[in-house]
Parts: sequence; structure tokens; C-alpha cells
Amino acid sequence: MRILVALVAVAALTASAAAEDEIVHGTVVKIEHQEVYLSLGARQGVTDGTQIRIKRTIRLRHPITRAQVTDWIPIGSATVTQAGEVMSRAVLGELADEVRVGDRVEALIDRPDARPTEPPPVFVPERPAERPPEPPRDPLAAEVLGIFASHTGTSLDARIAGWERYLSTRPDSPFGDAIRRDLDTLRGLRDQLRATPGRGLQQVATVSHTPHRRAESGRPVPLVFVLDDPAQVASAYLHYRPRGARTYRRLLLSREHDIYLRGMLPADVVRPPGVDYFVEVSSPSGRSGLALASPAEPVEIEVRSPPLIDRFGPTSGRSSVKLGVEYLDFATFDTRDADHTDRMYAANVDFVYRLDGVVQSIGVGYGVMAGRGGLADQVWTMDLPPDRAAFHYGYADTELGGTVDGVALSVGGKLMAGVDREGFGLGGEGRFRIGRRDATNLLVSATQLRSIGRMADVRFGARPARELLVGLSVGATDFPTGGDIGVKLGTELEWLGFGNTSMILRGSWQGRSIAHGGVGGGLGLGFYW
Amino acid sequence: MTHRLVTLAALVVATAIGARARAAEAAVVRHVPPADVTAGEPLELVAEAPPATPTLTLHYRSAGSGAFQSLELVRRGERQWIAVVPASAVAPPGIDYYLAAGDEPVFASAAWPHTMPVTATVHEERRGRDLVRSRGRRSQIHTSFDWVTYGSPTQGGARLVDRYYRIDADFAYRLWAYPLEELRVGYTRLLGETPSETCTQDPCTDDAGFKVAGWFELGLAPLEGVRLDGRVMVMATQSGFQPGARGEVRLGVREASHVALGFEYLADVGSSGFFRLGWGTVPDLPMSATVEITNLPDAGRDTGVRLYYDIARALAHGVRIGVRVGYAARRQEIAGFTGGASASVDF
Repeated sequence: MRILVALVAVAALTASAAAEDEIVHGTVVKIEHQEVYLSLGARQGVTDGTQIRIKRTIRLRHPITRAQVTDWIPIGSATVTQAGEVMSRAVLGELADEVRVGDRVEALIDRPDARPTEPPPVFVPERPAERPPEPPRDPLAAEVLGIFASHTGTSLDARIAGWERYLSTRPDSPFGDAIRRDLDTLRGLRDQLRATPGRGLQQVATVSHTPHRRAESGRPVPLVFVLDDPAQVASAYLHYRPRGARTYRRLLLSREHDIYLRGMLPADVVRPPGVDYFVEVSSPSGRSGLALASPAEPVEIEVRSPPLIDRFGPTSGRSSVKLGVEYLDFATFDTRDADHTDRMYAANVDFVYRLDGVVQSIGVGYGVMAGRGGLADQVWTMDLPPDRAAFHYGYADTELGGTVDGVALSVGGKLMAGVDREGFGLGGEGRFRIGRRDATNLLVSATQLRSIGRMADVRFGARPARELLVGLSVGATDFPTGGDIGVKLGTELEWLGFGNTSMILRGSWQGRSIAHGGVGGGLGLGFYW
Repeated sequence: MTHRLVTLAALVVATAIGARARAAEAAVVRHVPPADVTAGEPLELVAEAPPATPTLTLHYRSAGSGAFQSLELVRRGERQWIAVVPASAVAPPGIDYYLAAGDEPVFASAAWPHTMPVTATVHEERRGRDLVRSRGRRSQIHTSFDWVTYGSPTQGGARLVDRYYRIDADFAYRLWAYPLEELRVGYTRLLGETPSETCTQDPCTDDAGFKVAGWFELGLAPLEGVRLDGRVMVMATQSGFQPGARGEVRLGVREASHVALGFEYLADVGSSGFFRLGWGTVPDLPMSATVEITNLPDAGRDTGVRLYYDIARALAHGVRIGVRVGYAARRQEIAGFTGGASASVDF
């Protein structure tokens, strides 16, 4: 009974005060340091010490009709420190970061002159304003409209929390897409409002949760969090990242049976060495904060590396076979009299298997190189036939590499074992590549083959079109007999436009002197699977 | 009259509120799922619920498949309820489950059950993967035939032969007692004819190789995917009893994508070293390419090179057949054909 009396008294006093006050409206016209200038002054009744409220007008979409709606959000309040005739000044402190020129200002002005002499009027409920007709309400629409109505005049955080809670309990709502778009708008506004991003999150709720210590690579991890005080939480986000990533991704947790928050770490982030996560919640009032762990100290799940054997799994796009033949003539344009034969041919088949990680490829192949001549000025006769050389070989090849500052670098080598006219012998090749093999790259290589000779080559590779690889090379070589050194300028085109098959076309010019030069060419086929 | 009506209305409202509160209290079943569940161990699931809660039932199944089995939770203390999933049902990759009070789900649901990953010990997981890879077949019988000719060298104007054939037959059992993965025992026959290094009559050839060699091989895998095969051989060669050995280091699976480096030493019959790249990217059609340096079938012969390509076809019931084609040469001008076939059955 006492409570009832007290409530009546408070209501009467409030009604009396309301009758004596007037709300005046202005705008923020200037912000300087931590002070704000208002378009309100003594003329409107503002004096030193007047309390002001600052609001911002926002434009939203109606969640059902999608019509544009104008609303406002509270920014903060302050006290006028110096009132002029038409303008006044208020100190805002840290709030100055959130206020913008053009924000609405309201001040409650006490007007003793306006105090009514007549008895206070009888309260008559205001006739509700006529609203545009709304579409027929089904229970889901009614729920959405109820939430929308409850947001009037509330903070952005509270609106966001309200919609997030709705989505976490009604993920399949027919209004879900529209609400998600509105949420993005609200979050954008909140980001604009917060001039100090990354403000430290406080613990605002707690959840019970038994974290996994380890997980299998590439498998999603289902998570359940049990709210210790469900009434404190409107919505919750799971923030997660693969260990070592700079930023977290987030996922709105589904709410079930009021106390459970459920979500899943997607398979693509569950990879070695681990995955981190924490839970952020929003209270019904919109206050957001932590409920489990934090960005700096997340829950950590160890993820074991998949066994090495998985790297050799039957993944498509890793294997290739290339077959090629090439003919080089060093004396096509040698117009001098007598025989200056100088030519060679090469044929090879390469099997390559590509891997992830440091070892980028492993290959094996077979090849034949043979030629005759090799000297720029030697005249061959019946008594002095051209030198002959040949080498039949097999080889093992590997390429190791990685990325440094975003640039792919790799080194590779080839060990060749074969036979020549004298018997068994070895050869080798070393190479260094800048850039990816199938994109723009620069390759420097050096090769030595028993009885054939040596070759050093610089090759620029590019991919001017999705289905075309181009290679241009400059090299020096004493192939095919280890005779005089010559220059070789080569071009290679590989057309990848035949499904899993590619066509390779090679052309070259090579010469050992100004008088002793020629052209060459080759063909090849590639198969990728 | 009015007073009575008001009193009655108040009673009705109070009763309704009380009933609703009790219902709400009964509906709150609190269950924190455990983590890191180990395969083969009974799984205890605990829920906290008020005493007035109707019967609590656990519905569980192997992750992603099958019908749910039900298990009633029993009271433990004032608020705790407990269910123990039998060890036989706790198996990788996990268990789907939900809790229901009466017919009402109170934790997860049949439509969206909670999936609890179940992890096995490292060795059990590995054995599981090996079982999948081998399709549950732990034994293998394998045989292969290889024909190698290095061409026809000439000596004193006469053409000679330089060739051999080789037959291997073996039985393997996948033990999976890591790091010991496999045991293999086998028989090899290697016979050939090669230009003689010793005979005085020129030109002439000698028989080379052995008729019978027995061997025993251990397949060790300190890491999954890294395999060391070690073989010890005994054989009766042209000169008598001789030992032999073979070793292979392999990354990947022999019958699928892999890279291998190995050697074989057969006393006075010869030695060889090889590098092999295999790929299993075409289903049921494993292939490999090998480069081999060898002086078989006679340790006194020049070293040559063999280059060969293998392709196999996996048939039904674990049967696999394969063919080999290639090239062998001791000198650039003289080369010969390498061919072979293989068959195996896994069971």
C-alpha cells in the first residue's frame, strides 16, 4: 500500500514538472578539441549549467515493408558551460569523439513564466498518430514488428543485440535476409560512431564450456556454450582464426533452448598448428563484451598435422607428363664453302608430381641427346668426319621452394644417369626460379652432361593469357660435343586450351660465330591430371 | 459478488503463473558437452536438471549415420542426471546425440544433434587409416616377371647376348605394429647370359645369376607415409652361397603416389640403385616411372642404365595386374628392351 502511495506521488510530481518545462531543439555547429558549440543560447532559455542531450538522426528500412524510416539514436549528454545569446558551449570530454557537426541537441528548459496558474490539466491520452496501413500480420511478422518498435530511441548496440538475438533463435526467418542487411547498416553506423576502434572488451557474461585440446585437421569442430545467466545475453558471436592469422572471423551463434549457444569452427580454419577462438556477447541493452576468453588470450585448440602420406593423396591437378622433341642446327646460315655440319637433337619424357609445402615437385624422366659437329670453323671432310656424341639418360628431379615477402622462390636440381659411347656416366642440372612456375617467372639454370657439354640459360616465363604460357630464353652452350661455345636464343609457347592436354611449340636461333648460326625448333605434348 | 470474482481471478492468475514457472524450471536442463572423447572408453554424459524434470533420455548414434539409440538418464544426487554410452559405441569419427525430457528436446535435437568428435590413440587412428587404404585386406600374394636385354654387343665380330630374366614371388602380411608395418617373405630367381669377362675362348658368354634366392623383408614406417624396407637375401649363385640385401626408402604409398630411392646388392650377381616416382591420381590405375643404374646380372659387367614405366590395373576382389615397358643400355649405341608383368592379390 505504501508503495502504491509513493508511486502516485512520484507520478503527480513528474506530471507537474513536465507541465513547467519546455524542450528546445538545436544542432551541433562546431566541435573543437573536447568542446562542442550549439545553436542554442539564452534566447532559447539556455543558461550555464543547462543539461543537453545529443542525438543523431538515422535512416533505416522498415523490416517488413522495407519503406525508409527516420529514427534517432542517443549519442550522449553534457552540461552547458558557457551560454551566449544565440550559441553556447559545452564540454564533452571523451564524448567529443562520437559527436559530429549536425547532430541534434535537446535541452530541457525550466520556464517559470510559463507555469500555469490554472489547475493542471487532466491527462488525456494522446490519440495515436495515424500510421500507414501495414501488411497483414502473421505471428512471425508480429514478432519482428514488436522488436522493431522496441528499438525506437535505443542505442545502436541495443538494436544490434536485439536483431542478433532474433536471428540466433530464428535463423530461418523469412525476414532474415532483410534483417541481416539492416544489421550490416547498423554495424556500419556503429563503426562510424566509434572513433576509437578496438576499444578493450570487458567480460560481461560467462558461459560453461569444455574446450577441446586438439582437433583433426580439416574437420569442422562443433562447439556448445552454456549460458550461466541467459537473461544477460541477447546474442553471441564466436570469433575464430587459424593460429597465426592476424584477424578473427566471426559467426553468429545459434541459440537453443534459451541457455545453449551452438556453432561450428569451419573445416577450412581447422588446420595446423591450431585454431583459436573466443566468444563475444551482447546484452539486451546492447552492451557488448566477452563471455569466454579474449582476442589476446583465446581458447586454443591444437591441430595435428595430417600425416605425410596425405600429401601424396590422389589430388587432381598434381601430375603431368610432357613429351618433347627438339632439333637445333648451328649451321643453317653458314654460307661458307665446305662442310660445317653442327647440329643436335633431343627427345625427352618428363613425369612430374607436384606437392604442397617446401618440396614443390618431384619428377623423373628419360631423355636422349645426340649431335655432331660442335665447332664453329672446323671443316669436316671424309677423313675428318664431324665429332659425334650422344647420351641416353634417366633422371630424378626435385624442386624446393617457398614464398618470401609474397614472391615465390625455388631451387631445383636434376641428377641424370645415363650411357654414352664410352659407357655409364652422370650429368646434372641446377636451377633457381623467381616467381611461380605457371605464372610470370625468371629461371636461371646450368646443365652439364657427360660427353654432350654444358649449358647455362636464363629463361623468362609469362602467362599472357589463361591458356597460354610463353617462355623466352637466352643461353650459352657448347652442346652437342663440348666444342665451341655458342649462343642460343629460344622461344617456347605452350597452349593449355585442350582440356588436360597442352601443345608445346619451340623455336630458336643459335650460333657460335657471326658466320656460323642456324635455327631450330621443337614440338611437345603435355598431359595434366 | 465483485469481490469474489476478483479473488477468483487472482487465484486463477496466480495458479497459471506458478504452473508456468514450474514448467519453465522443468524445461531448463543444463548439459555441458565433454571434450576430447577417446575411442573405446565408456562415455559419461551428465546433465543438471531440477528434480521435477520428466524422464531424461539420451538419443545417440554414430556420427552422421544410422538411427538414434535411446538411453534413459538416471539420477545422481539432487540435480544431476547421468547416462553412460557403452564403450563399443564410442568410435571415431564421433557421436551425434541430443537430450530429451519426455518428448521435448532439451539439448540439441534430432534435426540438429550435437556431434562430439571421438579421437582414437595415434596408433589406432593410423591403423584405421591403413585399414581404409588397404580396404581391410592385410595379406598379399605378389608375383612379377621381368625381362631385360641390353642389346647385342659385338665381340671379335660376333654378336653376343646380354640379358637376364627375373621372377619374384612373395607373401606379405600387414602387421601394423608400428613402427613395424609389414613383413614380407619371398623367393627370387634371376638368370641371365652376359659376355664373359674371364673365358679365354673369344668371343663367349657366361651364365649369370642364381636359380634360387630366399629373402625376408621388414617394412618399417617410423612415420606414417615414410617407409623403410629392409631385405636380407641368401642365394646360390654360380660361385656358391652368397648373401644379398635390398633397401628402399619411400614417401607415400607403393601402390599409389610415392617417391622412392633404393638399392639392391646381390653379391657376385650385381648391384643396382633406383629412383622411382609413382602416382595414383588416376583411380585404380597406378603408374610409376623408374630410373635404375645397374650392372646385373654380373657384378663384373659395366654399369648400365634402365628406364622403365609401370602401369597396373586394380580389378575386383583385391586383384591387381600390371605391365612394364622400358629400355636398358650399357652403352649409347647398344640398347635393349625391358618388359615385364606382375600380378597380386590382396585378401
